[in-house]
Amino acid sequence: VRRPGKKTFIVVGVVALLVLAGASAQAGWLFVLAAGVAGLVGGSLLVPQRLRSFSVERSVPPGTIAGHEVLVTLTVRNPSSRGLPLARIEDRFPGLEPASYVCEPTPPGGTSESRLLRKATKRGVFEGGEVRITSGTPFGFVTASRTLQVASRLVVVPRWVELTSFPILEPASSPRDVLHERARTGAGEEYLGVRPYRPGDPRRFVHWRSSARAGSLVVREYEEHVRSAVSVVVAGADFGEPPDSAFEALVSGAASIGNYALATGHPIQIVMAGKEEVRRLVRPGRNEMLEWLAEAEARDVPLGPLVAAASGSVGPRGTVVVMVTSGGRAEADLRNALATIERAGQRGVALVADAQSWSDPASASVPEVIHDAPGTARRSTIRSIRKGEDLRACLQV
Amino acid sequence: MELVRRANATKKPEDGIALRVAVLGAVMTGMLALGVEGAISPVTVVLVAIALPFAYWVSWKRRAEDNWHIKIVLTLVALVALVRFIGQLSGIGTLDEIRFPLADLFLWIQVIHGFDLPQRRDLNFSLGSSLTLMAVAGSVSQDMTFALALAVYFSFAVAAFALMHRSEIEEDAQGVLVPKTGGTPYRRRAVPWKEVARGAIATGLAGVLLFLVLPQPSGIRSFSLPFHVGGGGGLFAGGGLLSPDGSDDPFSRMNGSSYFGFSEEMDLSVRGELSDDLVMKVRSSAPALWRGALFDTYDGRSWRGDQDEPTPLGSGSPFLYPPSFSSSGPRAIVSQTFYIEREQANVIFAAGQPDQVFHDGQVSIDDLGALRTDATLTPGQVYSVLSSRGAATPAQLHAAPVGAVPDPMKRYLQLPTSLPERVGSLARRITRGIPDTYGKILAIEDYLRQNYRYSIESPVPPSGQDVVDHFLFDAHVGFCEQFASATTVMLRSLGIPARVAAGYTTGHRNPFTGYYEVRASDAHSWVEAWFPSYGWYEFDPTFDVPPADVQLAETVPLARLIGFVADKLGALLPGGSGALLRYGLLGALSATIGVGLWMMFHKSRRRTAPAPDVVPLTPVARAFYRLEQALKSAGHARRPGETAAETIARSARVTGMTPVYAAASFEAECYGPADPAPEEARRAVDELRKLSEATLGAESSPTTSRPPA
Repeated sequence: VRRPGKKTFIVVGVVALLVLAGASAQAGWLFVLAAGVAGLVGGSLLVPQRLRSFSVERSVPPGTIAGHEVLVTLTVRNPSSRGLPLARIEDRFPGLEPASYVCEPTPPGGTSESRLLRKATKRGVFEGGEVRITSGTPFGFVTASRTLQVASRLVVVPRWVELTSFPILEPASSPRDVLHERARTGAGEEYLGVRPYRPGDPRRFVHWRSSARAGSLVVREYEEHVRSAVSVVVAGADFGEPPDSAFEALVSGAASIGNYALATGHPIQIVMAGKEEVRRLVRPGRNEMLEWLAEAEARDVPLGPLVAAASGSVGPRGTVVVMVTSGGRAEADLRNALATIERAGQRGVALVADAQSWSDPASASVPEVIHDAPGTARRSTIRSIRKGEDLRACLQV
Repeated sequence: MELVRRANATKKPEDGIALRVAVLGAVMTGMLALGVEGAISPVTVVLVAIALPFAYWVSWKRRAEDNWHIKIVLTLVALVALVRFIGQLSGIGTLDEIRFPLADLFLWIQVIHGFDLPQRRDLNFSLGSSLTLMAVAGSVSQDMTFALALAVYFSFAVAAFALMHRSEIEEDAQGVLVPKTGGTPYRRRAVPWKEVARGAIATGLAGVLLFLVLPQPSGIRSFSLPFHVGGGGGLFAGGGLLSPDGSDDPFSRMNGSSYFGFSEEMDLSVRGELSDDLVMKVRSSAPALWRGALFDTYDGRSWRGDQDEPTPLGSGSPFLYPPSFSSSGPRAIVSQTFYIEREQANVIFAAGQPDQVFHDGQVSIDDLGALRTDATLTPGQVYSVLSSRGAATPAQLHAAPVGAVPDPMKRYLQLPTSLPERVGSLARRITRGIPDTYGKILAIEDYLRQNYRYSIESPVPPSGQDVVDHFLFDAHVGFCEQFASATTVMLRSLGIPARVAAGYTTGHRNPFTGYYEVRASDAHSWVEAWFPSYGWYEFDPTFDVPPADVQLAETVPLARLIGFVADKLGALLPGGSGALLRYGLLGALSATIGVGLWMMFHKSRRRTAPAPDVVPLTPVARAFYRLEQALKSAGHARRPGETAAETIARSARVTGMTPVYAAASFEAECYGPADPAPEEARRAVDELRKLSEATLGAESSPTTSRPPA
């Protein structure tokens, strides 16, 4: 669709003035001048824009981390037998910051390309986005535009911070945790004793002297370093504008804890609310976890079903991390949720993102949630994070 | 102070030199056009021609600065220019003359503004202002030389608009998609010639089409007449009518540019050659017959006008037409300005009834109502007239009362006693059964057109025979004076007051200048008939009298062109096919334009694809890109993995230069959190440019290159 620009209306006004002046002064050259000026607009209408001949492709890497730059290759192909005009291309790929390109006139059958580093601004899984082509050649008096949907899959995983420690997962974080971390038989390094051979035991574990004494195969038994399972629950509405929002902070926190847990050998489970169901990701690998979190959506739901699902799968020595944004149903359920976790003999840790600091930073106050809040059981910890605070510092306290 | 600086800070400086040159070209063309048309003095032309490029250079150099101190100075200078303009107004006689000091003011504002054009919008304003200069120049231009100025102006304007559009497209763009097919790097031209050429062709085509269909109304009355009165110094007429080149040859109707009708007596028996010399240009709100002299007394061989001393009309301009001579009834106003090109008789040419005359010199009126000046009209002389022409409808004229002729009008019934009776009989026969005056006039006109031929080579009437009688019954061929005389005499024989007028036909209207160009061969004679309650109305039995009210559609050049061609071709076709021919021509023209447009849209064009590369948009990166290209062509292409700083350092070693800002600014611009300071960036660009040039110089003359340190 061709649309006249602001300049066009100015030109039309100038033409009218020239005609009026020509009629008043009876000066023929003013009509010629008026026709010439109007010809600038008329000429713009005569020059075809050929936007239909633009074929646009976007090439992006399969994945990246929110906030990181990716090399985006934008390609315009001209399959037609006529040249493409000078144009401006706006790429509105949702996962990346919008970018504007100048597309030089592309010859018939030719290709134009640009490689540009662009920042992934938003977490998510993106299948494509629109590209708007605008051309006003030769003078910009009349512009034509066309919007194309250009497919290109990009997974933007949440940002995370590398934690050097996360106290609740350390063996010494609680006296009772020591018991939880007690070894049981397995593939550890501490020697425990011998037992009869079972099919599948490695031959190098056979203790030949005891076997000779017993008359049957006996194998050595070693301690297994058992790590407590961790379940992370993420819920709550979002406040602020992603990527700097309350829910994004929680998702980044979940990714950070998940990465640390995986790095230190703790089995992890992530629980979130789906549209109508509880979504669980059990014992994922790192990439699987990050991609799963990339699709996380903010939902302010009661915590009960989520915590039940999380608590039920970590066992009595497990830890349940509940991450919620303040001010909603999820936060309202927080104390009950922590109580439920404690009743199951598990450790509960809560991370509350202060919604007020994101939605209205000026009036943000110290949140009501406080560390080791009275009224909760000993083993539960409640932490808070506000807009602008360092996530690592908050998680490693 | 900081607030002032911030308020004046340049947000987006325009770096394009080509755009600035194009705008400067347009402004300079406007200025030169004003100079050529005499709207500004030669001294002003020279001063502006020096000051304007300097101003543009200054504004380009300081485009990134806030320039607040320059703005203060410019404001003061602008105020001085305004005061000067107000002072010039005191010498202005008419509103029309304001154009010249206004053009002068605009010009100096252009110069002043030229010192502060940091952004594209400022250049846009300058380009728009240049149009004002062209408009003023066009409004005073009387010939085709202005076409050259227009062609040059639009060339610059088209280039400027194309470059502005490119600048708009590039604004805030992060990337550039450049064509790729492998091989050599893509070269982006400073001036997109193809776009400019395409735009120029499209503009030209659209401009011509629009000009052809754009109505050119001229009936809008301004507050003041569009003229600048210029005095003349002709031959003193001494109260009579003096034709400057009057010939003694009794058989010459025309000698040079002087028509024998502009004298006290018009001898109908003479004839001669008609010259095509341009005698005057008329700027008029409507086409009309330009009347110069009136004749009331017929003696069978010639017409005579008033022989008495004319009566002066007031003491100065404007000279008002006496009410006693004025016609009444519906009138159409016609404003005219006459620009005399060849010396003319001492008459005031005017359409219809000259109500107000603006003339530098004395104006007098004779007993018939014709106006005279005290000296002949000389080339360069300019005068204006506000006229009124009878605008009664045919129905009103048909219904005009027929009654007794008042005494003052009885002189227009005079006929020589020697006039043969058969002339009156013929008039009565032609108008038999027609009760009204208007109907009788039309009947006589029709009769003459159908039964008599126009020829300048008509036979000379025999001595002693009445000229009208000879024309009507013997020769059957004659020229305008004989047609007019025959009509007048027959009307008088019917008791209708009539007189013969002499002057010029409308002439050819130049569609570009808008002036009616009147040539000596346009000299003409026609009839004025008197109607009770309405006064004098013009009738032309030879040709048509232009209508008093011009239809808007008739001012469309295309309609005029088609009409002209149809008239020429219509002469070859049987009668009644004129309208059909016009529609046919219109259809053919529309079809031609349609086919042309279709072909333009569907014509295939194949081009060779240029080579690939990515041209950065930011200034330092672009300069570094050029350095890379220079190094490549000099055989020192950037190595894989080599950082920009290393490349610049290597280039510095090759050329022996020591760049200071280049590397740091490039890294800050490309990788840093903030762009380098404008001053640093400019120095970096300068260093990189010098490195590129030195690198290329080193390549072309190996003796100048230095070995790496």
